[in-house]
Amino acid sequence: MTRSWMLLTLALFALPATAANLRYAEDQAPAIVNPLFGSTMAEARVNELLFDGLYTDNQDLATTPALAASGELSPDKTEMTITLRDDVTWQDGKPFVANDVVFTIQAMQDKTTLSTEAGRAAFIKTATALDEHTVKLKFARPESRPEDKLLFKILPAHAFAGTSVKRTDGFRNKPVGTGPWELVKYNEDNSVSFTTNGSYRTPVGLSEMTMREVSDKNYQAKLLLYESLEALVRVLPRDLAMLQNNRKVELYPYQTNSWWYVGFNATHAPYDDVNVRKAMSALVDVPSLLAPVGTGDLLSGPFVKSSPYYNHDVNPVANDENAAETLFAAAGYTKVGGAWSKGGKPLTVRIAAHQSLESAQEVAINLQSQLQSAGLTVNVEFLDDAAWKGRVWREHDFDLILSQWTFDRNEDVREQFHSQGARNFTGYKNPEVDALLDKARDAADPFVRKTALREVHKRVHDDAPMVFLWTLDSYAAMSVKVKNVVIHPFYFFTFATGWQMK
Amino acid sequence: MSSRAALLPLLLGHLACSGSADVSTAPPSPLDGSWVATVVREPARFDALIGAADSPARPGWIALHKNAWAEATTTPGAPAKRANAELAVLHGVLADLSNDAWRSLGTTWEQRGTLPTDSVLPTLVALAAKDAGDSVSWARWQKVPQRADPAVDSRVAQHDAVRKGEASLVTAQSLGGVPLVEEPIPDGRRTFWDPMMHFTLAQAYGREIAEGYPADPLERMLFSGMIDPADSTPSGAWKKLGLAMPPTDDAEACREVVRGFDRQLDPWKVQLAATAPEAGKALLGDLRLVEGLRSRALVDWAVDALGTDQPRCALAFAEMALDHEHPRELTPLNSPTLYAVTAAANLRTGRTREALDALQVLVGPFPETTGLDETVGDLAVLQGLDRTGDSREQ
Amino acid sequence: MTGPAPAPGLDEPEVVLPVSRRGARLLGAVAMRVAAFVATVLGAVLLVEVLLTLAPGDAIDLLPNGDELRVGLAAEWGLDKPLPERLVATLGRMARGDLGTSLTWRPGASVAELVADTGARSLLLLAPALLLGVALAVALGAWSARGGTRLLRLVQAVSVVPAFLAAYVLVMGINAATWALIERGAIARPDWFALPDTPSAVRTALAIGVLAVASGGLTEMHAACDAELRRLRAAPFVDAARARGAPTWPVILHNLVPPLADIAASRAAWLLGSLVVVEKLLLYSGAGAALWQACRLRDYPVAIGITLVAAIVVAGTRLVADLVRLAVDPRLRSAG
Repeated sequence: MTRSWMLLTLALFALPATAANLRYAEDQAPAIVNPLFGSTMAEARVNELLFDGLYTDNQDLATTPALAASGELSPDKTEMTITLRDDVTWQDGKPFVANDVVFTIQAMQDKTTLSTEAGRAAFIKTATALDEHTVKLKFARPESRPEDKLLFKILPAHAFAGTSVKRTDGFRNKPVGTGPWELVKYNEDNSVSFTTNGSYRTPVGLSEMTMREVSDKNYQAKLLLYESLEALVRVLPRDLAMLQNNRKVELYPYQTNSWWYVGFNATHAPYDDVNVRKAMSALVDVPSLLAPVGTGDLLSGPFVKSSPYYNHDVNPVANDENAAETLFAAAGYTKVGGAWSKGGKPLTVRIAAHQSLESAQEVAINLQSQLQSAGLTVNVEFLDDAAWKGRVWREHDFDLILSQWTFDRNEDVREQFHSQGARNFTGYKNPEVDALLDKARDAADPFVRKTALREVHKRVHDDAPMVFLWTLDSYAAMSVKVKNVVIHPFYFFTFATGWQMK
Repeated sequence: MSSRAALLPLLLGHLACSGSADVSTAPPSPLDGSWVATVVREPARFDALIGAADSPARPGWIALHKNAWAEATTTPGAPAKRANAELAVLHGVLADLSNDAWRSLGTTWEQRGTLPTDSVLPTLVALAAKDAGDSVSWARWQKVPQRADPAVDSRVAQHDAVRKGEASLVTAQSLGGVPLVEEPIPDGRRTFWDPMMHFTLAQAYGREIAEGYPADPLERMLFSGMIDPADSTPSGAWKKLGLAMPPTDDAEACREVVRGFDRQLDPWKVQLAATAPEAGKALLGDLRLVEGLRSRALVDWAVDALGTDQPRCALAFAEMALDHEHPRELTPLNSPTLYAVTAAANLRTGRTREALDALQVLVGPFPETTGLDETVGDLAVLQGLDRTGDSREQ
Repeated sequence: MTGPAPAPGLDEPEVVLPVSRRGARLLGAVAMRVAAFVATVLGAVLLVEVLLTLAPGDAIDLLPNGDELRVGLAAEWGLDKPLPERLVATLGRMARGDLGTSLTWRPGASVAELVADTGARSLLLLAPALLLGVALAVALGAWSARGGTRLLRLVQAVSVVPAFLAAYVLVMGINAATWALIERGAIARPDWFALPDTPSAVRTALAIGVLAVASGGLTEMHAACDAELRRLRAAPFVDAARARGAPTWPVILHNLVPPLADIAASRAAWLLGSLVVVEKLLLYSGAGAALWQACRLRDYPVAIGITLVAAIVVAGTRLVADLVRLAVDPRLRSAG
């Protein structure tokens, strides 16, 4: 009996493995493969495989023509004439023509399309096909470097009935692009298979790719070590040591400008009082919050330490309970029985944290503990994606939030700190900071921009709309079987045509 | 003469073996000739070299092990010389980075069509071109409309004095840390830093090792990336290890060189530990000798690759040298030169923002790099003008 | 005459009614159970819609420029209507057999097709898990009737482990052990490795095993079976069979069917709950994982569609169990 079980067990193990293509993991499979409607980074990465833009980044991260062959800007910078490549075909065999560019821009701008990418084409007033391979763009205002804004993906006009495109359009089931890979199928296990676009204009090193949905982050690094995956787009800090010591895996650092913060809701009392914000900031022991999460740099403002905009004359807020007491007193609070209160009402704080932010639970619980031991009543909520967007972004229904911002290399913090900023859901308002942000945006001299943003750093630090916490290191991990790896810091796959697998 | 061209012979002249003493009997693996093998198999020699707890030499070796070179230069004997040599290399790499940054700052601004005509900037770009050995650019930038500034002339004279040996290292060190010129503009002011700083420091540190460099092989090699005392360049080590530097700037091929190195290093470390005496085993583990050798060797290779204009290879070597458990710190495995070459290679491949990440690690322990950090930052800002950025949560 | 009080239910004396009255009572009993079935299903669907609607954030919030698109998308997706109107609209669509299309999880895909696909996959876990659980429970019951307590304690110790923990530990343990063997060259890399990434029979078997055993499931089923078996063994009709020299197990099994149906029906509801956790942990793309995603992404039609089917399964199992009991047990037919 025992022998039979052993033989059966060995038989299970003896089945040979199938050959591998490049398999990479995403937390969640793309819901829509249509650049008009992308909403997650997973979708952006798939779009990078399947589609091209007029321009793209080269390996030196400079803007370079892709579907465009060349572009000519008018002297007044309000028009650009783009000559398109004439050697490009769509994955269904039809030729790529100027009308595809015009269609894409019009579809993005069509209000009935309800495109998530509408903002990226807002700077274009009109798009006209002059002939089969020439497009003229007219801009709403003069543009010095319009090619930097023409990285959005181009769609085939012939695959749609008109510029009013629905999210439910069947295109998502069989997308057609000009990119180096084509989507083969959506598999039953939520993975997606890709194969090389045979008519792509340059050789493509990897013949197949598979996106696997591995929603549980605990598995992702393990699957890489077990050679069930070849690429992890982002490695969790706790998995770094394990992966670094493995010779079959290589780590590729990202240049990420991202920082964690605790934001106050300055749109309602008591967080509209700067003394309360500063008092609470002084109660936070930031190094203790960071310790269980990983290694990182502590910050004093809205830039990472290596940023040219970081003001090194501004120090992080010190953890100082005495200073906090003075500030609370200035705000009219008294400590009764160990708890802070005003007008007989104890200071009760609701902290909202994002469920999927790695380590947020640990940090939020520790933060709660710190604030409670200082005399506040603190409740913590963990919100999923929709709840976070609804409560925090739309309704501003929170007292404090624990979150993280990631910026591309331009480190544009305007949306977060300008009073008209679309992402300023802490409700921060300072007219002087607005003026500085405007000055930085319009600067023609780099020193003017740098000086203005360093001053923004100082003012924002002083106004304390947030407790700036830290920046963490970010890595991708690849199997050593994958060669010639160059990773785009935002889109990951931009240079994947050069990758090869042994 | 460019920083690179001047530096390499200076350094190699002092690192080449001048004696015939060998450190161990000759076993088959080339790694068995390394200082790591000597220390692990003959821990008594190591103890004798390092000295007892109260020995004056000991703090210097400890500082050298953890890459605290500035501290090591203040101690007597071989560690100070070794540290000066490391600092010469470090500043040589930073000089390259500085020259590249100034050149890019000038040309990028010029291409935008908004180069200020009343600024001292063209002078500084010209000086950097001169240090880089680019006489054509040196001549061209001198003709670009600019403003003369006596502070610049005075500083150039100071640099010349140090470079000719008429002024000391101390003078060179005093030149850093403060801006060179500040010029007012309608919306603020421009702050320019010294473009010649690091080349001068490289030469000054190099002069410190002109005499009295250690002769004993173990003193010369301990905590270095050298495999064999006879190796004066990385290619010597590669030959022994059966590796070859790719002729082109092929990052993947360079990664493969490192993997080949690791394929030899990993089993050798196991074999070394198995046959070592207890004291040697303790040193192997506690001081992470093999990891240190690997890291320093890769950094040497990266510096060499940068010198032969193979920045992608340099970056590959540097990335594979980095101890990712402490990616923003100077540690026994992460040396200042590692970050310097990472910054230089990133800048040369167009990744200005990444260069700043690496430079940031150096600014604290090396205040004289503040100017370089600011200049590279100015370049990053210039390259990002007219661009709006994107942000997302998490 | 005194004696032990009759046990409730099966030990009560049978009351013989006229045929017409028996038929009416039977119909009444069936009608009541069908009504309960319909009420359960409708209640579940409406409850899920209410909960999802009241949950903070909606489907439009998930889009990067949701604010700009809100007016248009809310009209398109029917999210601009007040809750009561939406509930009525949902019921109306259900009545027409229209489950709608997915909003955010698989935009444009027919919910009916999504539910059918994912439901079929989940059924491949549920049905075997249920059968396995019942079979193991009966076997354990028979074993424990012979006084074997050591095995019982072991099974209880294993069964009490929560499903999420059991699944996770098993996956990690099996992977680690297999990898160790692969690295040593002892075995070739199996097709199913590594769990739970690749769909495989091993992964499916693991899911079925965890569902059947963990979170106290096997312990509960065994306890229920054990109680029934003990009662049956002590029943007079079993004694009578024993006295006649006939085998007792056919009699026991025949009388075990109704309570087993009961046990299975109540267990089905528990299994559905565990299914969400097990499918998520084992990356199994069944209805449980789909429901999780649909709720997270506020995909109301998909969540409602899956709930509808799940409620039909749970309530339907209950209904079938009751009908089976009615069919098998004449006393219940009379009692109504």
